[in-house]
Amino acid sequence: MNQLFKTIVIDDEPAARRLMKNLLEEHSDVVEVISEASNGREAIEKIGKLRPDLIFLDIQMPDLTGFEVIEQLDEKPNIIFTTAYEQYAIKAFETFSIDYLLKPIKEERLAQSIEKLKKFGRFNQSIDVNGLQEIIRQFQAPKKATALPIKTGDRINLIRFENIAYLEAQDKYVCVFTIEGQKYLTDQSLTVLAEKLPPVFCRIHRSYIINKEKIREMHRHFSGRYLFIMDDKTSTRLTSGRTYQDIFRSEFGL
Amino acid sequence: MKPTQFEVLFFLVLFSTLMLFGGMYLLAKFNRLFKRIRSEFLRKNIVVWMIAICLITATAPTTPDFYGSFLGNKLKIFYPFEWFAATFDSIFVFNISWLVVKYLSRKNLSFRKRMAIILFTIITCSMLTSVPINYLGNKYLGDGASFKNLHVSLLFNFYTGCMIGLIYITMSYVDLARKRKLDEKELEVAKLQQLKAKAELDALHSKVNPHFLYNALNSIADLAVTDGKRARKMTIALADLFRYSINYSDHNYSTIKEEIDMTEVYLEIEKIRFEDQLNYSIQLDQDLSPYLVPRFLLQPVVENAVKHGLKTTGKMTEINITVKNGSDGLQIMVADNGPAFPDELIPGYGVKSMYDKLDLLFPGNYEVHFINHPEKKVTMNIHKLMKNEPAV
Repeated sequence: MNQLFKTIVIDDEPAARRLMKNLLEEHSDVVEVISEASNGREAIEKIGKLRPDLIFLDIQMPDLTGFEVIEQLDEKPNIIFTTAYEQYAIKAFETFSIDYLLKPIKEERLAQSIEKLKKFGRFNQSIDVNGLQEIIRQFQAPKKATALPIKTGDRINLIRFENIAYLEAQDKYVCVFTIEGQKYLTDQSLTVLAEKLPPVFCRIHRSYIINKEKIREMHRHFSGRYLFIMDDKTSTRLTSGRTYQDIFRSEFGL
Repeated sequence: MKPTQFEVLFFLVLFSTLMLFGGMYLLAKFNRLFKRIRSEFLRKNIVVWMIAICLITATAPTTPDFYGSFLGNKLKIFYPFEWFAATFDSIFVFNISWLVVKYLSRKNLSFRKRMAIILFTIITCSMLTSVPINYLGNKYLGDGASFKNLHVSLLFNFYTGCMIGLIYITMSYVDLARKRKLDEKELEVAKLQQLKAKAELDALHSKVNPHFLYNALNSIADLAVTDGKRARKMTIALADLFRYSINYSDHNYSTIKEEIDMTEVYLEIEKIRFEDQLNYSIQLDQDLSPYLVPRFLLQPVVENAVKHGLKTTGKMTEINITVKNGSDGLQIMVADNGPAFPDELIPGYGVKSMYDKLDLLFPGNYEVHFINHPEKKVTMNIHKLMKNEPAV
């Protein structure tokens, strides 16, 4: 009569997998654990090979997130997420998972999930891939950069945006000047760097990009140019170029 | 046609009124009008001279000599003489007073004492000038008798000196009051910044990753049944770690020893959680133990290292922490054997918190490097060190 859900437990922590298996013994009439996986890649491989009906899936694993694992599956089993992250506990999950369990896992809560599984669980079900990708997009949203990485030999220096006074192109290099007066060299072009910088940076000259928040004074100069006195240690003076006039004028509301 | 006496008088009064306004305007705007003149000495002398000329001309009709000269048809001599006197007086009084002001500013005197000395100087100088001016005045305008009415002249200049001196004192006082207000504001801003810094630090302190806690508790839930001893070990370690992060939020600094101990506690927990996948070693130069670093500097960095190390699956994750005396101060290195730092490194919570703490407590006094070869590691150099408990 009742078909058993063949199950794989996926979690990077051995103890968590063990706990889950132990707790599932209570539900051996519904669920049969056939294997376990300790990381995303192993999980994908085993799911492909063993074709389980159900997976208990940890969201945060070192190599891949649970979402990325699902994305790479051809055939999607029923999913119950296990996570310590409360912020993942959102409605959208319900569109393609049976349930989610917060760690540490409660036996009563697990029993509820199993009930849900009995009611809604399908064998060989398919998943709304678009909804999934939307969620991945939400949670994997690229971290907002807060610093400019500058590679010098084998070292990477992170220069935080708020510490950068201005960038100056010199021959083949660009110098990044901090408000403390330190200087970092990079072989990336000013145009490439401009794309990596947040909107507080503004190009005022063929060779200069300045941090708008680090301007101490602005003076009108000859023929529509402007003189900028920067709020750095040496009170650097920079003059805007004529070609960039319109750009920074609109940015400064001049 | 010769103008009548009244017409001449009327014209002179009008002229004087204009000069009065001119003098006032100069007084109000001289700073902006004469900023082209770079030399302060030259600029101030010119300004004072112009103002003096204006005001002398303006007040000329109020002096007794004016009517004498006017009635005696000596105006042609009177005005040049007045201008000459104004030039002489202003240059003499101003420069001497200026020297005195300059000299006093270097001495640490109270405002009252300083003002008294300046007032005295101005009055004395002003009275001194009346001697030659009186002599010349008598010679050209009066009846030629030397020093006639010198006492009147002295009294008159005493009065003028008092007036100028009091104006100076009033202006200085206004300036002082404004400066005090500005200082107060600056102090307030400084205080606010300090508060902000403290708030930021407080926020940083309490942030042991909450998921870390939940995950660890989940492990304990299993170990409680499967391996009681390890469950106990982990519970105690967890308690130590949270006590360290929660209870001492008043202290911004910890000794290196404390930081290393806590990092070890943290790594022990991770080791239990990931069983056979994690190994670590710590090398601490014992001489450095008592030095101070921002509290909870290390843990987020090590947590990152653990995360990155575990990314390469199927291989033991090795975390290596070294604290030593480098060529330029304290050097803390956290190495892991995970995938290399990408060129486009984007700092997450751990790296940001490291920078924030160092910025707050060792501003401009540290360096952080991300190194890929020969070993993947983060190094922190702190140049100037403090020992034990500073005044925090």
